[in-house]
Amino acid sequence: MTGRAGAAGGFRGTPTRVPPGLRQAGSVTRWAMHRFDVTTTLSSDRHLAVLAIAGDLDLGTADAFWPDLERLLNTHAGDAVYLEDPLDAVVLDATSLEFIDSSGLRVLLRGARLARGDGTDFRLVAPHPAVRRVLELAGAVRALDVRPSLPEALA
Amino acid sequence: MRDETTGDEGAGFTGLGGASAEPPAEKPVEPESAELLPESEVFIEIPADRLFVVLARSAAVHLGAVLHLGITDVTDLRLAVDEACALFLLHPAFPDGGAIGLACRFAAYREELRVTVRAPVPPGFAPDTEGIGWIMLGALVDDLAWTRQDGFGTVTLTKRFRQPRAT
Repeated sequence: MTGRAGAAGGFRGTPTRVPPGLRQAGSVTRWAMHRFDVTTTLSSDRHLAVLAIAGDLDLGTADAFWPDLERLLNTHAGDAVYLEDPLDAVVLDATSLEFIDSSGLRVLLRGARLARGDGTDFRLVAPHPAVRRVLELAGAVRALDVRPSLPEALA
Repeated sequence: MRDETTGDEGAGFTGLGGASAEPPAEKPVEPESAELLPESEVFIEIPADRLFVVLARSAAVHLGAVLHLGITDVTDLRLAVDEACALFLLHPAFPDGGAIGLACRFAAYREELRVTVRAPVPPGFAPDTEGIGWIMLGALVDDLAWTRQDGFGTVTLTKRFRQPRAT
């Protein structure tokens, strides 16, 4: 079940973190569910969003993740929650993602397509070998603009 | 007895290790003969619910370790079992939950590990062999087969050991 956990939501003790180099816009959304966790950080000065995902993005969690990703990508001018202008880039930080299957991959590809259709860059940080394996098998490394580390994705 | 709705077509098809969707080919899974009894065998049945597939994945990881498979093979096996379960659970014609279960059987032979995922399926049920899940499965294992018989669908994955297993 998807549950809004707020900043206090827990997943294997993972703390909410703000990526280095980002000035937080004061809006961190976080939700956790069994085996999967999302933390969203918005930069106030670069129109950049970083979604850190952890755990397993599989057929049991992918459907619950999509609405949050879609909502973020559909952030436009006048949105009271986030920014005044569309995002320049969305970085999906999958450093702590341990497993992904074709269901999870479909969500990421859908997100990348939606982002780019709106002129927003979409990058994926995916250093975990199991995740890289899936991306390579599916030939999705290029489509998702995969970077080996978060600093490289933010550069 | 084969699925009477589908006749001979119900025998199924295979995909062999490539990253392309193979057209249906008639290659029924051969029944095990006495001399092909596995050296070890594990059977696990999970509810036909997406949230329980992690149990089948965990079993695959543990068995891979017990069989002294390398980390890449264990990772591939885990993903293959997940995708095999997904072929049933994500199929629009697959019945929801209820009393249905997915039966996962892991049979280790001297030179290969054979995994079957089996569930009752409605007449005419067949996996999406052009979807990314099936294509990835074909790349993860050495042999991939789908059969439907007596109202049950079975995905069979065969992973051959690259070197003799330590005992």
